[in-house]
Amino acid sequence: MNTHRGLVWFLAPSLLVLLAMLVYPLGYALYLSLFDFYLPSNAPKFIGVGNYLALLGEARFWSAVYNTFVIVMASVALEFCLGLALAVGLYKLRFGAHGLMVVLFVPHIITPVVAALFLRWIFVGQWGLIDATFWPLGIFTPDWLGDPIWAKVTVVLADAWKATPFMMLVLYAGLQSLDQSLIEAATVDGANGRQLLFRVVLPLMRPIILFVVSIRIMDAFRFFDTIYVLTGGGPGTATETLTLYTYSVGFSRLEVGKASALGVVTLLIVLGLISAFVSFIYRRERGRF
Amino acid sequence: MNRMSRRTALGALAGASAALSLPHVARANTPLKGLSHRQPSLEFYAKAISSAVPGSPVDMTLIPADKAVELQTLTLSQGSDAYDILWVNDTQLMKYAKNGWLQPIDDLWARYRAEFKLDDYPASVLDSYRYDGKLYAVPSSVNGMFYFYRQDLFDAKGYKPPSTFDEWLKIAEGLHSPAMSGAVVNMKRIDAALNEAHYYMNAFGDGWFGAKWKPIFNNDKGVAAIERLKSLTKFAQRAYASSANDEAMIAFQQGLGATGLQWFSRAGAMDDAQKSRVAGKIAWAVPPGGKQRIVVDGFAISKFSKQDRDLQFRILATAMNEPNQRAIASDSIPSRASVLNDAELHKKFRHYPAALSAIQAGKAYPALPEFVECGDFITLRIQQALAGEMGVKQALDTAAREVSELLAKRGY
Amino acid sequence: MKTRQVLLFLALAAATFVSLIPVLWAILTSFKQPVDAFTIPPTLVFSPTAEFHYQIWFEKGFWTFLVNSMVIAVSTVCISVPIGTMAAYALSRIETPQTRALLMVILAVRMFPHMLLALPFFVMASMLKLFDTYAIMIMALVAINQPFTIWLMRSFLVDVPRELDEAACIDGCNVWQTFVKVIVPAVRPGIVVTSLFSLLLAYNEFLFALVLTGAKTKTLPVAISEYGGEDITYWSLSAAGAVGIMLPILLFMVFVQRHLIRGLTMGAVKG
Repeated sequence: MNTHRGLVWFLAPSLLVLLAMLVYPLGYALYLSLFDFYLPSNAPKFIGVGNYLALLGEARFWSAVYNTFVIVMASVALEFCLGLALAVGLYKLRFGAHGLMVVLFVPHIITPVVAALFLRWIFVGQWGLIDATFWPLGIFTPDWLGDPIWAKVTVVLADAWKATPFMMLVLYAGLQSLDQSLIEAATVDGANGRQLLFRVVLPLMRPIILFVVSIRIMDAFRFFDTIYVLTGGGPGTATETLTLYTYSVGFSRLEVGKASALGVVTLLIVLGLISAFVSFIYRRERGRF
Repeated sequence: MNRMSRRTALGALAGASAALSLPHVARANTPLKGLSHRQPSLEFYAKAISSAVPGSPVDMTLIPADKAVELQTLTLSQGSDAYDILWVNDTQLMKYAKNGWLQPIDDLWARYRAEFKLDDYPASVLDSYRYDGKLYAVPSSVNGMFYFYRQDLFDAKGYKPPSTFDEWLKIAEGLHSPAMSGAVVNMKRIDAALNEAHYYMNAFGDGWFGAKWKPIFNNDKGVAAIERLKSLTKFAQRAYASSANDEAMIAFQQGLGATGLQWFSRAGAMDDAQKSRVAGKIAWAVPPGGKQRIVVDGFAISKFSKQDRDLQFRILATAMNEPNQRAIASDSIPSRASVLNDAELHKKFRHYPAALSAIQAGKAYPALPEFVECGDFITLRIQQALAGEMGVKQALDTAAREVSELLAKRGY
Repeated sequence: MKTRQVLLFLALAAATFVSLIPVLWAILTSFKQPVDAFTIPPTLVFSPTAEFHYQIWFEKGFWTFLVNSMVIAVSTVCISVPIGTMAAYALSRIETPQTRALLMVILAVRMFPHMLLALPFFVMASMLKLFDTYAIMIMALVAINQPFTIWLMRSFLVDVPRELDEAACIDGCNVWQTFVKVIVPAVRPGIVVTSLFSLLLAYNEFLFALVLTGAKTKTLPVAISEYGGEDITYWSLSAAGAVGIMLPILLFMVFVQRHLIRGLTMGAVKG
């Protein structure tokens, strides 16, 4: 069958752009990660895997890994639950669903730098919208940004605010594309709402769930602007994630080699997570993702 | 819109953007480019620079300080001529000069001394712009921190501006309530936290470094100094660990803060009724023990600039001349003696007397080009101590070890 | 049944309202004098001022930055989506271990911290003498956009039955003609969705814009970030700017709403 003769060439433009623009930067970062390179010195010194070993022996690195995991897992889980609830709600709603969806999508279109500022105006102590509203009523709110645990919660809420609409939109699309006959059959068999959702709908939506959750995990690992603006990694190291640590090493201290090593480690962690996730969801249909 | 016309519109848009996306042809007369941090007085100087010499406009980019420093470092480290004129303060200047990123301007200074009355700059101001004996920048203003306090609240309780830390602590405790922070503390990393810690370490400790840049900030007095800071945070505003100058300014302007260290350049805005609910109620003093941070702002010329350096110097000297310094005196303390010592200004702006005393009492950052990099470790560990993740002694010991390692790697 | 629908609507409307609070608060802030912006309790009644909106657009030159943003974002989409769709088509039809590995590699780009790409991008821009040009910014954004575009388009394309390709082949189309005449029309809604997400990414990108653009090509996110901080008046300006930057995208959303819903409901992102 030569239906697709020459199809390989369709990859060319895209790969050309990727080669031109990304192979050099990624390769450069990989290369730099093997050097002790203080940017202003312009004299990189080869140290092999020294940067990696140094990182693995650092308490600050592990604390950043831990914080990143906690924040990523909590926010992706929260976004998924909220996104699914909204999507199911919109799916069941027979009027006004499309209008509501467009409005619900608004937080996702806000420029990240600006979104972080908006949230700061809400959460900051005393004159932030929440505190300023509740304090005069005699209700004392949690110390959103100053308490180590609440700071994590706030950062998770902030990410959820921004990313839930994306989750919702894609899951809504997934619901729309489900085979209605399967749902009807289950209803006839006497399944109640909850059984329908957990036994029929969610299993059918595995591929979409995989797609959104993977994309969100990747993006949440790169989550930077909001944390930087909201807490700056504090209090103490309570919200210092891998990207904030990378920023500190690469931009504040200009140790470009070590920062690159951190980037590579981050990439490997995410790659491992996503691969595990893919093979978990498709354990019976290997290779088809 | 029907399908056909939409497609035509899209096509036209794509064509137009393709045409626009062609690289700009370099013009014969490339305008000068500058990069500065944005705050009211620097914004004024940026405008003055753009229009200083007729026919030689300067494209000034103004961005928040952290971004400005990042962008300067990135472009200069690559030897790029993306920016000709650079805003610097004394600490950055040392770092850039050490790396060979700036042009020494001693010859220009000598050549234009008479024309621009450059002898008007006090030697102390110029000294902070020298590295290795060479001069690198034209100063625009002197900035520094001083003690902000609510005169009305102090009067009501019979307090005087504190002369010791313990007095400050008592005042903070006395004025503290959920709606009013006894002290506005700013510990956001790195910048705000390092400013704050600098005061405690110098006023109550032995400073940051001993001989040969050996860290001494973890000695007993240093630990006691940070313990003092920690005791004051009991009366600080919420989330002081992520608070920086902007938040502090709003806290004061909205009447939510009673005392605290803040910059001269933010004092004028306290009396502006469009921004402040406490106009006329804030007063200023030298903080107990002095030695709070002072800094000189100004502009330097990039080593990699391909443009006429005489022209650039004349632009800078014109922009920072006497009339301009006088015009922006509300938002910045002038660097020229003739303006600084002008009795008229001292009468006109309430904060001047305290600011002048604070300049005398203050202390600049150590003359170490890598100090801000050291600050990355120092401020993180101090934050951990304040958050209770580790003891103050342990935090400062850890930071001292990290700083020693860093400086050893940089050849100290 | 009817009351349940109404209750459901009210619940969703409440959720919508809560999620909009930060945006509404910012809009209010942009019309306030700084002294009213952050009060306790919050000021809801005030005499609005359009001063900051006026300043942003007419005195601070935001029009120019909007044009730059539009040129860059639209060009990015016009390049990224077509070439991404082509690659996705190839990857959806050639299923070998190599192409699967390629997909994973392409995706890895999305996992790398972008701040580490800023320096190499700047080095490239200086070497090629493309600093402060639309070209370098568009190229960078196209590259950054490719993984998502390819992955999303591929999930639309695997749902297009192969019988369509074969029928076109029998009708004498070569692979290019099949793609243009048969495949692209079949996934048009998907293209709309992908374009929307690509446009959002390109329009909102900040870090690369900060590093790669200068006075001639500065984009809106960079321009707005310039007012972050130092003086409270700037906060009113950033609020006004932030509201301004949302409007074009919001208009676009409303304009493509119908296509978006159709795109999302045609069995999209099925994997």
